[in-house]
Amino acid sequence: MENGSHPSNGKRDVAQIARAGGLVDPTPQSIRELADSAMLLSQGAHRAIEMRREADDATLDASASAAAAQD
Amino acid sequence: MDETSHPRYRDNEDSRFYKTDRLSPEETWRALRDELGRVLLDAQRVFWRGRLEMDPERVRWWHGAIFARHFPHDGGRFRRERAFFGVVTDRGGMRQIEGSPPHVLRQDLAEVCAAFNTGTAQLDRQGIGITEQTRVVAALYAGILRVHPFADGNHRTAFVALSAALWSLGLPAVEFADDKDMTHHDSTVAPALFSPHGDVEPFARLLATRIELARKAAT
Repeated sequence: MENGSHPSNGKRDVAQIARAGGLVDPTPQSIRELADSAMLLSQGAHRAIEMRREADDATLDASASAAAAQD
Repeated sequence: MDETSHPRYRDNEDSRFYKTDRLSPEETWRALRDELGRVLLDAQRVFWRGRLEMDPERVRWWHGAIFARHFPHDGGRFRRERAFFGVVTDRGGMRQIEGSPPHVLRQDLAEVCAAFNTGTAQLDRQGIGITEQTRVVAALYAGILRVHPFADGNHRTAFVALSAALWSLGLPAVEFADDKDMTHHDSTVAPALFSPHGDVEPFARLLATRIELARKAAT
């Protein structure tokens, strides 16, 4: 897991990140995810949630269009 | 390929950091996300269990580190005009708050930083509780947001301060990633923003709870 999130046993003496699922070590990937969540948070929860929903809907629409095109 | 940020994310159109001359709004979002990631990566290397002496120049420097590469005119510059920002109320509405007036914002920020430095110095004793630690960190975070020293990008800069402060105390940084996390964040930070002596306790408790839950899940 060179670039992935390293689950921790909670006893490591390194700067970690607290997530809903536990602690992760700082890797380029986990720090990028922390930055990504901070970017969204900076928009305010209301707009951030809306942005995420719109983005997810757009992804679903794109997937459905791609699947329909293959039929 | 970018595996985290959604390719459609973009900043608010009213933001000075909406887009650069050469990048689309979506590319700008990802470029600033990468800069923020670099600043956070540096912060955890430098401040983990180390002394974090806060002062307005450090806050200004962080803002510049995130924004100045793509926005040289605005990155790392304290604002010179009045600023208003919206804060959620406990009834689900929005209240407009004015940041510190431009002629006193540096002084107000210096007071926020000094309170953090004094607060952390008093934590240097055995058996200190996690909420006592997060209270000092929460006051720093809310203080930067309330003073609102920059025209835009205050939240991202304050988030670096929040993470660096937690790391310096030997605590994990806290990620607010899902919808519920972000809503809790906004509703618990809000009481601290309504006045210079606003209530930081709800956000301090949220930080402590999130850290304790993550530690528990990790064991």
